[in-house]
Amino acid sequence: MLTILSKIFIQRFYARNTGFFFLLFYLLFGIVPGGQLVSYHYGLMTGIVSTTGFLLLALGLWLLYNLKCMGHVLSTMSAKEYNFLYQTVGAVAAPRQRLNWCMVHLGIYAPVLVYSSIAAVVAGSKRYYGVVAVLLVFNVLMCLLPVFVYHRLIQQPGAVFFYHRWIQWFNRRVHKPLSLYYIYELATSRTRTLLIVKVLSCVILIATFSFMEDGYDIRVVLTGLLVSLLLHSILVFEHRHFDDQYLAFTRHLPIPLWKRYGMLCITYSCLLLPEFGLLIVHTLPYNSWHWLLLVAFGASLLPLFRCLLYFPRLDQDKYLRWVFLVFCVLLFMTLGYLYSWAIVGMQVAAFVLFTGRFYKYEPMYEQVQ
Amino acid sequence: MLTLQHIQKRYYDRLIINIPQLELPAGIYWMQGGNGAGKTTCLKIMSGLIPFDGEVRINTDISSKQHPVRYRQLVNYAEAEPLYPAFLTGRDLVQLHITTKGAGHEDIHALSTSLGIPDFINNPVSSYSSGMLKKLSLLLAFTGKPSFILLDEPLITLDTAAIQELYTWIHRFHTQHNVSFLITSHQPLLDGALPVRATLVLSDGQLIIKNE
Repeated sequence: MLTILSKIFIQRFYARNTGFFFLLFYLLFGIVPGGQLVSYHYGLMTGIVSTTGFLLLALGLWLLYNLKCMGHVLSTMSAKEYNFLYQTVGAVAAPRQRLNWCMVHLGIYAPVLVYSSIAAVVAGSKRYYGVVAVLLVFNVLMCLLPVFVYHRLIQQPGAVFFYHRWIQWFNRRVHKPLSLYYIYELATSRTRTLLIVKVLSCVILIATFSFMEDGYDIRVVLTGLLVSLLLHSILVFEHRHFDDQYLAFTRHLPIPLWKRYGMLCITYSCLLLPEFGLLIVHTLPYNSWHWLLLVAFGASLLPLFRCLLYFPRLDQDKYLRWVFLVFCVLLFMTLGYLYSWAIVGMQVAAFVLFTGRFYKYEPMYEQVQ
Repeated sequence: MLTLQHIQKRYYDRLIINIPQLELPAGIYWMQGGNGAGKTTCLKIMSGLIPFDGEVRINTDISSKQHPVRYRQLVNYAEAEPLYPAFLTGRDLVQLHITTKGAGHEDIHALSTSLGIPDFINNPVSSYSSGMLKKLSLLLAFTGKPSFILLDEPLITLDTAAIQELYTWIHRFHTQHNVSFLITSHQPLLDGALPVRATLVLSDGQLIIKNE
């Protein structure tokens, strides 16, 4: 039975995520010269086990990977073509069943398990016994909890899990505000794109802050933020598609244009919350008001990108050309200390475009399709 | 009264809708037209959803272009095939409409109960059947205090009980709250169920009043 389960769950998991693992392999082993590979990973593991922040980051990433593994198994079990699992695997005695699920999960969780186990050995050798205990407990939980979930699902097909009950409870009490619809969409249906953009964006900002060790200059931070915002331009382009396809009904609601524009700014401010957090933490020690400037900069540029898209004939190529043009103009304004004027300019341009184009906009037929 | 003046709508230089002048006094109207005749486009123009050449006014002085917010308070529209983001619940949508349109002619909870909507209102719309989605979109069209409600193919995917209930709503809103209706439907409206004032026929982009 384990052979069949391995084919269904483990082999398919690695086959479906070849690109992901190839990238991971390149990042972990491809960018370092062969001779320094061991010392590189030893340094990385030492960093993980000796710094609390780094350890939490690693645990967070491993948890995300585990959720990805669980998502794969649960979605496979829910697929129609694998309905036979309920009659076959579900008929086996419970202890054997749990063992099978444990083997399946270990098979797909193995990369993290192996890496974190070596990190635990490194922690032990450096006498960080507390970290060893944390890693041990973490991995035991990461292996046992999914087994419990898989077993429960196979025993009670269609069972309503705690998560779904919680979602229903949440839906009864919390109304989703219109300005956050796109954030919900990104978080629920375009998670991968959102995660990639956010991780890259934060990496760019962290790299920018590393330049500040030689001396603080707001222009350097703004340039880093500009590049980070440039990455978000693709999310903005997707926003138009989402609006055209699913939010056409909101155009009929009696909402004044200034309010609609305000909601647009709130949407992008919320999207940029992680970046804003990083910017505030890293610039506050140097200047007490620069964070406000950076927040205003971010909350002005993305709405401007979105307002450009109220010209329906602006396809992705033309849009990216405009984005690049705006980027260049802002870069020169930033380097020339004209960042306050840049913010005013962006806000005025975005508002004028929005109020002038909103009711005149009609999606191109092909785009909606 | 809904007034249309010099309405023209083009797609790729092809004239789809051409209505020089049309006045629809208070009443219930049934719009007919073949597939692709432009009924949905016509309703979208009347609801102010898409740009067009010309002028549409409600109550003679409120223009869809010059007073877009006020106009949207007075003209409601239900799409033929409603589409909402998957993560939203019926409750989210009802709340959004109540917040933006204000108190309605009738209690929205009583209306939703009469269509059996509370049974699924807390679930995400992605879990709704087409009939449930249709009921929700019709309920939303009856929010606020509209003078005119445009219903695009309201009868498709509804069960017979729901169709009967919808007729009751339309009749009651028209007689008690003086709300006018423009309904497009390929299915003939039930004989005598609604006091239809006139039938509008859309053909070759022209809207002609029949059986007044």
